[in-house]
Amino acid sequence: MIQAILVFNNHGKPRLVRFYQRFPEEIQQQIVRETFHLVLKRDDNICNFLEGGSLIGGSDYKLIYRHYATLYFVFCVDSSESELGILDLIQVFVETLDKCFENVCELDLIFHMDKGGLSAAPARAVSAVKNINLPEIPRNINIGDLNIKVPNLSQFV
Amino acid sequence: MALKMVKGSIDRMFDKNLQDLVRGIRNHKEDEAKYISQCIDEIKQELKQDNIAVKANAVCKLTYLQMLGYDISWAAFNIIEVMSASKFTFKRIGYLAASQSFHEGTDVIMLTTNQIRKDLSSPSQYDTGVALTGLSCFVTPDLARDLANDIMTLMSHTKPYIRKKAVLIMYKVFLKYPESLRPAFPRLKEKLEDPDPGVQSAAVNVICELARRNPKNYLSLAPLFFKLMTSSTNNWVLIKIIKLFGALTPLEPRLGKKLIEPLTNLIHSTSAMSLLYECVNTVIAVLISLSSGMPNHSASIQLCVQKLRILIEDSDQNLKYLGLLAMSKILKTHPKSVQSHKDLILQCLDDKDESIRLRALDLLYGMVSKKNLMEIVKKLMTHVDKAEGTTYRDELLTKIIDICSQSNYQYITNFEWYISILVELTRLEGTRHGHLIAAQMLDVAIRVKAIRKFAVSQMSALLDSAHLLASSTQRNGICEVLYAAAWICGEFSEHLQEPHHTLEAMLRPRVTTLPGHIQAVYVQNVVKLYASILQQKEQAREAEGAQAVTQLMVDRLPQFVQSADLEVQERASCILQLVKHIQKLQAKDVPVAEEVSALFAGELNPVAPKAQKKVPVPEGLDLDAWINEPLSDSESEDERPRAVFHEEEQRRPKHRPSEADEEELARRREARKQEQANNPFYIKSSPSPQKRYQDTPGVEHIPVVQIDLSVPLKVPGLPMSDQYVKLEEERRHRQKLEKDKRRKKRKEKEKKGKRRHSSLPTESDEDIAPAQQVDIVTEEMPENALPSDEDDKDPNDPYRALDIDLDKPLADSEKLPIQKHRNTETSKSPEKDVPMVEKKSKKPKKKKKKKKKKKKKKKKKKKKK
Repeated sequence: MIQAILVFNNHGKPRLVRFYQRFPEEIQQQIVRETFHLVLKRDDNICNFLEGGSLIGGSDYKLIYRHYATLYFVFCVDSSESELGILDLIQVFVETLDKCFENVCELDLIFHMDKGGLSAAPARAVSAVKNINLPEIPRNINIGDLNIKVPNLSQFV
Repeated sequence: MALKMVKGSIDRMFDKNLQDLVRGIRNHKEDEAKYISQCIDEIKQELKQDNIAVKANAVCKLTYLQMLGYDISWAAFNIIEVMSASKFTFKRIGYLAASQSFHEGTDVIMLTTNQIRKDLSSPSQYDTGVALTGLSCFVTPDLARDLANDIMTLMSHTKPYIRKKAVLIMYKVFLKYPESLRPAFPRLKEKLEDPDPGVQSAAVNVICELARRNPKNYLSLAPLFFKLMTSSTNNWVLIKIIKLFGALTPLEPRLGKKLIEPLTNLIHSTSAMSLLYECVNTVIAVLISLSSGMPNHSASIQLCVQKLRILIEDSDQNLKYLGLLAMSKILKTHPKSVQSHKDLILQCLDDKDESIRLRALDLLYGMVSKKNLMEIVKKLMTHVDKAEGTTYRDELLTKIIDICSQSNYQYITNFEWYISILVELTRLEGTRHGHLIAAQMLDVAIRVKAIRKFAVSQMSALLDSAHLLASSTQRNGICEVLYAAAWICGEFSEHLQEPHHTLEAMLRPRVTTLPGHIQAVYVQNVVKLYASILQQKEQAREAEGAQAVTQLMVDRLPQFVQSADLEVQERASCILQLVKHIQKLQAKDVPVAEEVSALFAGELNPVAPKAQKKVPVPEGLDLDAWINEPLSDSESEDERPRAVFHEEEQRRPKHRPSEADEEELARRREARKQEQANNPFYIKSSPSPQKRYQDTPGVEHIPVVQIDLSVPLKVPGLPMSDQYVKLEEERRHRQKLEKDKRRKKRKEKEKKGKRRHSSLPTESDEDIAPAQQVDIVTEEMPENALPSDEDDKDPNDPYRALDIDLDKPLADSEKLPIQKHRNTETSKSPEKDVPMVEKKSKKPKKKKKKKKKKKKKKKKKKKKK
């Protein structure tokens, strides 16, 4: 199960923070800071799995992260998830963001955090985003003033 | 009125939206907190407005602020208002804010029940979708109970988009309201065969999560999953199912046998690394459960090991990491298959990636044998010298000690070597594991009687060394070793070469800078030393010597009496009085040594960790009975405030931290030993069974030719352990020669008819006999202790509550609670099985009407109708 999704930049500022288990705000910020320190120490050519995040959950939890340009995408998962699967999931997530925002960059996440939060919403506790059976998502969602153009992501099925 | 509206709309022009807020924060980097508190005030103003668009904007900004760490629970009611907006975009913002900030402690969360129910039965699938998504983050037991039925019916919705979300959120509902699992389960099972692959994989996900925690309840689903595994092509689903089988096979070995064939096929055919890795993992799990070793499974093991080797040799660090991880699982049951790859693993130890080094260390733990322990530890010691970060060095230290001490020191053949390793480890600076080393020294010295002399000589050298005293301010630092050193020297003082010298070392003024608990041990053991010195002097009839020693004690003990630590003070003053009394007796020429030594007679043995808990309650003692009469009722009534509302039970699950780890155990053991050390009246229970000593002690048999000393040179600053490696090899070689000689003699005596099962000439691990034997293996327990072991379970674990048998048919009492309308006489009120479209005639349960605005809204809505 995915316990938390954290996205922060090279200086540790949170860009997207989704916890699937309730923590008070100070603990949340502490977790983000600690994760940032852990992840910052890692070189770019070493493995993407980190163990020993003491605040979130217990010894069962790993941190799986990927570094894209100025952003770190960190998923905190437990042992029921396949590690390589989660790495692929992060990739899919980022490519989805890319297609949604057209050449996404950190600024997009900063200013459109409400939308970023929503595309992460499906990736909730039971790793549902793997079930994006993508041809199914309607091509154009027109609700009220909202017009989302959903890209064709069938290559990820 | 019109003016107010105009003013209002002008104000609204200057409202910030989310983008403006973010931009503003970025522009105010220096006084961010002030700017944000300003914005929060503006948000509070906006929330007071009637316009829902304004409120939604405000809540959107609040969501952003929550991410930055600001608490927004004061706006909970406003968030609910936004959630009840009819426009989708606003609703979405409301639910997002709710999922970020609502939790079980939010009081107004019960107001959401009806809103969510309305959204769940809304004709727009996006409303339902957003409600389901948001609910999953803040579902509470009450919400779960109230909405379980609605969600369950949504699982059969026409649109797969909804079905999928409903299936997924059922997992959260199960966690919060376990009674819903049995009624909902048949429908969940149906979803496994849903035509839509998204819904199917959602169902697989949920069942896999449930089954991993309580596998035995889901064994009956195994055939269904087997069918899915063989027919599905979606890699994600396959991974989940295979992981699930990995969790089920320990319970059902026949399942394992059936699985090997399709899994091996998958391993050969798949190109996806993730799938390959999961298949290998599950095959390993199957083989572990089938470890009754059928010969044709060795082929599967070889295949696995081969694939893992490919993973480890890959340049991608992630694959290396995973390969090592899986190898360590194989190691537990098939160590021989892994032994051949020892070189690869030792190579991984040199990797620059710390995670990989840690994994390799773990593997080494299992690959150690009597033969290679010394060289492995030697390699690890070189790493310790090279290691940059202190955490890694500490990890190495812990690992070295773990490796050496596993299974009661099973793999150590020469304890002198081990003690010299421990002494070398004390040279590490800045480590936090000083107490570990101390605990090991104590343990070895107590359990291995033959090594005590050597240990004592090493410890007295440590007591002399100045650099340990220098680091005395650190908590748990290396100075902890002095604790062990002092205790060992005191307890086994009969082995000391120069007790007087050691006594002076322990009484030096610098000792008072050590932490309190160490000083306390010093004081106690100084007395033990003193007793043995007195004994010696009186036997040699040196009265002046005896009196000189006493005088030394009287001179130096007062420095401890003035210590800030209470324990030290107490002990020192007690002992000072004792010594002064002895001085008086000595002045009258009365022999006192016998009585003083009697203070420390008897041996102290290690005690089992659970011994305290297992002290049986003596007969006739009722722990639940009142000791005093309970207070009379009238008194207690006055003090207790009358409870007007019922106290609700706290049903919040608390996660207790996992079991105490290695350090905690060592610390506890140490504390216990200290208590025993303090108690001179500790009565030893039954003597330990193993008392025989090895017939070939290491010291005398070493040929004088090689090195002139029988004990390695004690050169300060140089590691001694390497010399032990050489000595060890010679010793084993000699042992082997002797055994061969004996075997030849036995063979000559044999009759020709008998054919004995001849042992192979190659040396195996068991042939190597250790130089010193571990004498005390068992730990002490109180008499009549029961060997039960029930203290590991956490009563508040939510997954335990889900341990429900699913095969029994559903009883009437277990049906989900369905909300009934207040007025049931009208024929319009529908049967509750399919509440797809809400009847607008009657409102269901009355909500608490807290604010007038809510009333106004309802009135408006009613007017519209």
